[in-house]
Amino acid sequence: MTAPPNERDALLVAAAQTGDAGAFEELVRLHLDPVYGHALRFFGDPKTAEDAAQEVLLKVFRTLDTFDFRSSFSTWLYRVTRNVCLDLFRAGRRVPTPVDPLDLPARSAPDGAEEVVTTLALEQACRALPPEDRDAFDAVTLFGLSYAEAGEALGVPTGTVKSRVFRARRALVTTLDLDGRGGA
Amino acid sequence: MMEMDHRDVQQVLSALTDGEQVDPAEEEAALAHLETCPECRAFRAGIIAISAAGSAAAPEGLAAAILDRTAKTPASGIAAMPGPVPATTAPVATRPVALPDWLSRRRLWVLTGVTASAALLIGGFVLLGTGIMGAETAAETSVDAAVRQALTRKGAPAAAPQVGATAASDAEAAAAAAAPNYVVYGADRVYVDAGSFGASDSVLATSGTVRSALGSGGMAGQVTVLALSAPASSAIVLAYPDGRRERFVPVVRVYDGRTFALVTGRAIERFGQWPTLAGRFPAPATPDGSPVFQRIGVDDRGVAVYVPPAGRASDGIAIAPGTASSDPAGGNPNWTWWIPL
Repeated sequence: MTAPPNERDALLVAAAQTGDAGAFEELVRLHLDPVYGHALRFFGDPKTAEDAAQEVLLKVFRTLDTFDFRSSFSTWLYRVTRNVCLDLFRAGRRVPTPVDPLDLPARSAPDGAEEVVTTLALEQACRALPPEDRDAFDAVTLFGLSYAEAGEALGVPTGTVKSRVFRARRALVTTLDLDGRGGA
Repeated sequence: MMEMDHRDVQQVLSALTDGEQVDPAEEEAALAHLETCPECRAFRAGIIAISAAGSAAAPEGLAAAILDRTAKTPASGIAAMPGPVPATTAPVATRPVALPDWLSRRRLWVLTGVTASAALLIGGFVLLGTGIMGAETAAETSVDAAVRQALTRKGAPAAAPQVGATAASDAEAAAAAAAPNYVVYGADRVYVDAGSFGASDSVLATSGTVRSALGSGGMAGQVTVLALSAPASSAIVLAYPDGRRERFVPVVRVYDGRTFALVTGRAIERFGQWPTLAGRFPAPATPDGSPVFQRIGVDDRGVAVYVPPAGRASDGIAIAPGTASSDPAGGNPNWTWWIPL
């Protein structure tokens, strides 16, 4: 029987807090993709995203004993990830690569027979989203947070998260020309 | 029926995609709207395509690089700032289209276009199975059910006497002083002391009791257990008689990518006592556990893992005595039993 994700994470964190290296390793393997994914959308550069992801997980390792289970581990991890990316940007150590929505690649099914979006196209379209919409979209779709959890992490009401995620989806559908109206 | 414009309908679809609760009337109206609105159907197809595209996966080797650095980094205090990661950059790799496990909690009918009636039926099962009861209650129910199943399969109560108990008791008596501070909660689940709990009691709720003398030399008594009210918690907090709050966490280990929790066949009524094998197993008299157990592999720490003959790890695993003190088993001189979570 496999535990629900939050239960599984809580047990792994509890084990890691007692020094279980295998439990921390499992946490890294389970959660590295969303951390890297958010950093990639933030900075637009894979190498910078790798560096940022490394800093996030190291910070998690160093401060794991402060996690008090008041929120889910994913909520806490998302908050750390977002803050590390912002800190790197503000310190001038890493700068996001600019993106022009007009330069986004066309979706891979131009004949419209089937709606297919490549990951590359989606990632570039996400980078073109307004930061607040992208943050909410990533919290929900990459980290699996509920609107309430995302609101807690972002310090905004649940309704605001709902609106931002919806705006992000609308923008992505338009930018990627998934509604057949000719794209951004 | 409620009238909704395109934006309202699409916002409902967006929320449903994320597994959020939506007003039933709005949901019904949105589904009805879809039947006659190509624009909103196109939007739904678009968010399905976006979900199916997945997201960029971390490059090969990044996890290993991170773990290598954490192995060299103190767990607390100031650590050296990480340097650049060796070039492992590859073109954006695509995560397989297989949905991440959080998405399995979502209402997938939105993504598959199932008819309204079938969708509501499926949605109901999804909600019941994942969150509507409260994540904590659902998780505890599923885990406790697994524990009860394991205990009752052979019909042996948790406190049954064990074969070879005398020899085990002598060895155990010698090692009693070295046992970590354990308590047993939830029938037979073993928890270990993880330090004082410093947060406010406002995040706690009374959850039950454990029977323990804790670290005193007196008789075991009932100690109140306070559970963290956050749905994701699995730690418990014990309210000590002197007013202290001490946090205890489940003892777990990982084998083959799955997490297993330590259970005990005998009650632990004071600190210093070791967990013992589940009551239905006689204590093996041989180093390799035969014929009670057979080895099936090693866990993530390289510790041998055993199961009963013809048994499966999905039903539980056994660990032999002689683990290191840093192992989750803590150097227990007894064989131990671990159940999957």
